[in-house]
Amino acid sequence: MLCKTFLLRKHSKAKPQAALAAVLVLLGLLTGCKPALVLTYHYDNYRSGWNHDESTLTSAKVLSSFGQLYNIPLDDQVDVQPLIVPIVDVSVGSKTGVHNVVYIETESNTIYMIDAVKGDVLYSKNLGTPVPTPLGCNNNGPNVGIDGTPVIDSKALTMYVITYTMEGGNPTYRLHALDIGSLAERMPSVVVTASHTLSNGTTFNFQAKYQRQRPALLQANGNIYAGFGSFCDWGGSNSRGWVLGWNASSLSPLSANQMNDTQVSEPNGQFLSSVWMSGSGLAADSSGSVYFVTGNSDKSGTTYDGVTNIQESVVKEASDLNKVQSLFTPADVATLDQGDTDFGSGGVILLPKAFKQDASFGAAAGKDGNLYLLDLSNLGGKSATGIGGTPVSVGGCWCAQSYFYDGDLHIVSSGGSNLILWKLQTSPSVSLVQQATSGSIGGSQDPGFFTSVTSHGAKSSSDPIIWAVSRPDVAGTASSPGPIYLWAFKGQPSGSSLTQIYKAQAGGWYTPGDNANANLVPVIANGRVFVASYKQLRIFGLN
Amino acid sequence: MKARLGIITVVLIAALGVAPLLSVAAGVVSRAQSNAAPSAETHHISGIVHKIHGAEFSLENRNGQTMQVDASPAIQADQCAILYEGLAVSVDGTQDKQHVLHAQIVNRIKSSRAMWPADK
Repeated sequence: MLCKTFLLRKHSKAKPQAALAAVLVLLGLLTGCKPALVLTYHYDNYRSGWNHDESTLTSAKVLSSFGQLYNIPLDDQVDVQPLIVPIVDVSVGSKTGVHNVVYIETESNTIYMIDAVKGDVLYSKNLGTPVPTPLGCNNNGPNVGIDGTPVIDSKALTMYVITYTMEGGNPTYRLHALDIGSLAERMPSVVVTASHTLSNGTTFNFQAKYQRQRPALLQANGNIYAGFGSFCDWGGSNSRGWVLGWNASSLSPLSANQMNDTQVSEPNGQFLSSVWMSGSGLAADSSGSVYFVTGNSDKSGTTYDGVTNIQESVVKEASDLNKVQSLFTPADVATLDQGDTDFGSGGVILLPKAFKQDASFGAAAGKDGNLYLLDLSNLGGKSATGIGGTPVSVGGCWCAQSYFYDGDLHIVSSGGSNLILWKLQTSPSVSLVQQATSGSIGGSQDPGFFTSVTSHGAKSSSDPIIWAVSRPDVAGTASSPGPIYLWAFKGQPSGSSLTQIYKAQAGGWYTPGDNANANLVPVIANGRVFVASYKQLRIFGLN
Repeated sequence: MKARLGIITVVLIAALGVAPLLSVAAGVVSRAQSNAAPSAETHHISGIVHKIHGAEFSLENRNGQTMQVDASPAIQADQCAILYEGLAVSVDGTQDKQHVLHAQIVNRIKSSRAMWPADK
């Protein structure tokens, strides 16, 4: 209640100034209330999906007095996760002053600043004409604009976002650095360009027409990083998986970049080795290494060598992008390539052994549903197992895992249509022990979905709640998109089951062709739940 | 040979089962009809990939009927999904006199038929 009061009171001033914001932050700290910031995909660079500072939404209150508060119309589909800054001095629009702001970006390249408490649209800004159905690929919405979740630097008060725009008839990516109070450009945006040397010494250039910037952006080491894949695996001779980086202060590109396939020729010309991860974010550990997962390459299944082509792999990359430090590739990489069974359909999470420790393990699953547990100090190379022995089966994963700590570390997998709660066991050997499952949450797109976890602290009494958004069961129409649902489950199982405590429609998804797999990531902060989908943002909270 | 082609044509057309595609009723076709000029209209058919031979494959549509697809144009235009048996795809293309669908675009689609867009 204290936190809620704190958050509501800060809107009472007609024209609060930055100094007031500072006072409010101080008051918050003095009262023990820590308003949660959501500055990046899945809350942190480990991509935990866990907000352990949620004191308002207890399982009892969700059961008794929780529901939808607002439904805010937007101009296009949303494929990114909402980001939240609870104290922003908004200097534009008709409601200037300090607000608790949720930032939403659409495939029309529009950025919305919305009051997270009252649901008011404070300001919106369009950053250019999006690219309609790139290459004719329908594995996305009718437009592709802002497709990867931006990242916010709370100290610099800057949002970094990549737009996809038509410029002179050419699809173009631009990296922007925007003031979070006005969305004004802090410096000129930069066009994304890159080149890399192939294994025969020739140069291969990044071609925006053939690359899809889908993974969430990463800020680490003073840099901004972005991953790129393909549209529908098309144009495989021109499309290759890239990870690019820029200095966050200047937007100057790093001198090196990562291109996952540097081979000169392949039997079917499908180089790819894309970085897409169903929209999950590139991850980083405390030493600055960058992690991502790659997708399929040539369907011949003959092109993997772990050096010039690193498809179907979890990759640990040096912070300056000049070296692959380690990788893990499932032993059946050839079969994965032959069946378009991308390992890289899922994201990778980094796991500490205990709360607030540095990450020691990684976990990733892809289309075949095998969840591998990895040792971050040495990912293991080409192997059938990973550190945890035989991988556990979580269901096909166009998804990413979450985790939380309550005395034990738990992974929440979301492959197929079911949640599975796992306990990370570190002694006598490292393994995942299945604890409980949920019932099916539906969804007729490709398997998998996204989750987040909230709790009040990290102890056994912290009342964890697992939140999920199901993908649609029907295609729907533009005016009546197929419904999607917000679900909540108690994170402490009842026997071998996860107890459902909430379900309600949370938006819709329009599938005119294929329209990918909805990147529907629930975000919870400061007593509110945010779900952005096709042309709408719904905000839930206590009634 | 002609008779064999005719049988194949009848089987293919009967297998299509997509009313707007065909100028036949109830899977019965005359020789005159089978030799009719192909429509320049682009069709959009969803189905499951079976029996891949090079750039050609058979496509089982939502009604369980099978048609032949030549994906060469889509492959040459870099607008073809990586094909494997069991994959759900949508095909945009035009038909020839033998009712082979020449694909300009082959898109991967959801495996759930409830998510497939309408054929046309």
